[in-house]
Amino acid sequence: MTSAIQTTHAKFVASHPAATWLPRLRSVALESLERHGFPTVALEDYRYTNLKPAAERAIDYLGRSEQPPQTQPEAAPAAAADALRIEVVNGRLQRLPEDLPAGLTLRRLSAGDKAQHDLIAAQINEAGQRGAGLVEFNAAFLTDALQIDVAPGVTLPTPLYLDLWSDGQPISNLPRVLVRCGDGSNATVIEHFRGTGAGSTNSVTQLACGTGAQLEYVKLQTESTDAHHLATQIATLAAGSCLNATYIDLGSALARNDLHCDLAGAGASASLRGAYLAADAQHLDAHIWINHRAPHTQSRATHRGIAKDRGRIVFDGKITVASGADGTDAALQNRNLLLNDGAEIDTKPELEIYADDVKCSHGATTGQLDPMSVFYLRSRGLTDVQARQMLIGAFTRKITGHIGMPTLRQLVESSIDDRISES
Amino acid sequence: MSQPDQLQHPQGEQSNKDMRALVEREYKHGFFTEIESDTVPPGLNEDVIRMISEKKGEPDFLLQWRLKAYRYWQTLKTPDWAKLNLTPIDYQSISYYSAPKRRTDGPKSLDEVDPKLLETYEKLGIPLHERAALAGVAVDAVFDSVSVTTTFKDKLADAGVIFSSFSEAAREHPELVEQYLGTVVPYRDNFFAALNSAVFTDGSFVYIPKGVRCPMELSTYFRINEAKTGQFERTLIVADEGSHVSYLEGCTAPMRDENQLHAAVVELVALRDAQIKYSTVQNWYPGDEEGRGGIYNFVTKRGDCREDNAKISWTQVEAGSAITWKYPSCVLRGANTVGEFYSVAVTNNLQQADTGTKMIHIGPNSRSTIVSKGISAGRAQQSYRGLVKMMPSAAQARNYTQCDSLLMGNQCGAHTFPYMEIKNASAIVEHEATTSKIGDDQLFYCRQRGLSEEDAVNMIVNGFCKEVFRELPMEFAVEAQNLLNVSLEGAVG
Repeated sequence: MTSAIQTTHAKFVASHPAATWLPRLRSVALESLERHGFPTVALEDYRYTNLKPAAERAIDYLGRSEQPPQTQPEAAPAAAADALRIEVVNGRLQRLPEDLPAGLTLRRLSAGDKAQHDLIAAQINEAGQRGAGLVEFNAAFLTDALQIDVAPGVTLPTPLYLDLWSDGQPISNLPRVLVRCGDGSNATVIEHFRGTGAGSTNSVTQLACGTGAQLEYVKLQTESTDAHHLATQIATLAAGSCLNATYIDLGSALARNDLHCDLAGAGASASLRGAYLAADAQHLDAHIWINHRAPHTQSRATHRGIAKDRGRIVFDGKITVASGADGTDAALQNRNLLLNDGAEIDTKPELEIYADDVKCSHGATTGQLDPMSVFYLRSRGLTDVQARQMLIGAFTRKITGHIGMPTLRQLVESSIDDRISES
Repeated sequence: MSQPDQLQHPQGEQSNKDMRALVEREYKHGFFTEIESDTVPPGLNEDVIRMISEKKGEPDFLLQWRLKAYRYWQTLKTPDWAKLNLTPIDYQSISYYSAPKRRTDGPKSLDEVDPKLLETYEKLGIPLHERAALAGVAVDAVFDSVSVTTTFKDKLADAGVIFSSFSEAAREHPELVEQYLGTVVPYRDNFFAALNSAVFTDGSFVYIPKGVRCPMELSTYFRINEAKTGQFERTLIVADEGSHVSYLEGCTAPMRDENQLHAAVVELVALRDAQIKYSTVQNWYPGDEEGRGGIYNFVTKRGDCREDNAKISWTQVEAGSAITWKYPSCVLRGANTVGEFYSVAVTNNLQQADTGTKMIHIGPNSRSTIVSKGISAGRAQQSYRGLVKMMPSAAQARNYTQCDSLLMGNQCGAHTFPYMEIKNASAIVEHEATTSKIGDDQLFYCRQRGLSEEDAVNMIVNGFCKEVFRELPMEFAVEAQNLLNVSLEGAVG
């Protein structure tokens, strides 16, 4: 694998010349990637998810010469109408919107001066030391990155909607987005991954909240059921800041999402939610790691998975409380529905605690739809299928109900309902 | 090292003591005749294994099994996945058969025993003559226990129960041993199980015949204390159809040894409608405040509910050992089988414990309950590691897991790593875990009612563990409570 990466990388660099400093960034990442290699099932964090097919596809696609997108992206999702839409097609950042609200700056790595490059590169390098190969892979083949800067004290009037569309051409999508919320700012960022065909995505999103900043982040993944979707978010929360994140995973044959959430400043808080639906032979894996590094930090995580047909849901939620992070209050909940034999749910909530003045708990359950509830709905005239769909939908509403933007919430809920009824 | 002390000092008082040690050995394991044959030089090779097997007069199948295990063990690497920090063990520096060696090294009377230890015994409420025995002083006290065991043996034989040392069973009931040995924990199971299979020197064998309710609780309390270097014991309990047995394993002797490896294997087989209750109170020497010394406790325990309606229940109180690596598990093979795991683990100073359970649900309607209570104090690190697996065949299976950790002091750690793998859509799995410390308000309340801080902490801790303690047989429950208080001494304040 390693030699394949090297060959591919050499070919890639030759066909993607970049500013003088970018090769350095790429080669540092490549070096690190070669050291770790792609994560394998021998690693504890990947024991339930074999990323080999995803890695092979990504390298295969990178080795091919790039073709321009032939199909036009589908119309923008209705929800994007209420937001500031940024288009990414086949992993390539399109023209940025120009009419920006005050306090919002958008920068791209492929344009701008050296100082700007250095700034972005420093952040990318910092993240490189955090992942288990996937983050490095993203950096090693980087062509562009988007930085979203929200000035201190600014409340953005409209959400930012990143519409990441892929048409299933053999192109490895490696988006990199850096969000920086200045002290006391308030913003909403939505990442919507969608597409058709056998896509390959390995995205990295870095979220940095300054003191007292508030960020709502929504990740909606509705890629085609042939796609491979890998994504990592690295969130760093300064004192008193607050991250409110919602994950919806409906698409992809193989999806793996890693969220590293660092509560680095005193009083920071994170509220994380996720809903996952794996049908047919989908394999959806969500890993979250909440790292309480400062006193009086708070986290809440609620994740719900549904597996049917031969679908498989993997969930790993880890709460770490560092020594000195006294007054930590952390709770994690994972609930799963296993709808038929043949489907599988593997869940692993973890606690790793090195401080004593803490309140930590986690819970995980796996079960079926309550037959009494189904019976009740049927007695009210619903068919068995309708009753079940309604109950499954209700199971996910606990997650989707927290999405702040009404049009987006409707989009998410209808996507879930469609997915339930079609499968 | 290679020779027992008594051989180097054949005269006078020393030989007197040798005689006593010799007599004692004979009483306890009637089949040992020559004490000098009980020691082999440190190191492990096939000859050592052949020697152990020969000395124990084992049937050939057992020797072959040991050799297979040894050859397999040589291909393995020490596992490193547990959350433990330990100095690597040199397996060639261990003497694999040296039971009586340390007896003559031990103190001559109670006066020579570390007063701290005696204080501990006092608190545990262990009778005086037993204290001497536990501290390793070669006195007659041990005879009491031997005679007790013998009386029991007659009573058990009347019921048809076989309760003997493993070697005795291998000679007298080879067919039973051959039929069941390694069927629950095969020698290929893991590193320490392979090592144990190759070199195990002692242990218990229990067979409860069809429909028999064992007339008393069986215990290895004294056997293990006496065997002292019984680092590699192996226990096999077979409960035939409709039988019932409660087995107690007490390692309640705080020992004074240097880091010492203890790698035991326990296999339980429950056939149709049979029930096995296995209780452990483990208090091996945990090392001193600086983490020097203490037992490395690497134990593989597994029960197999092989046929329908069988039930296996594990209850453990883990207070000792510098390092504990132990996952008593249940394979719920039959329909309507029940597995239970109740655990209290206490770590103080620099102790480390990585313990938990595995519940493998294969049979339909199988049920399991896991209640784990961890208390971490000082600079100790403790982990709960568990697996609940619902196989596709485990229709209507049910699991409930609860793990609670109590932290005392800001330098300790408490960790939870539960794995849940569910492949059956009618199975229900529930897991809950909490971590907290003793609340200042709780302490304040107790203190204003007139309790000292230490008593208040003891009371709160005992309340925290109550769910597990009530699963223990009476006499163990009292001891376990006292043990907990002793283990946590100085943890708060």
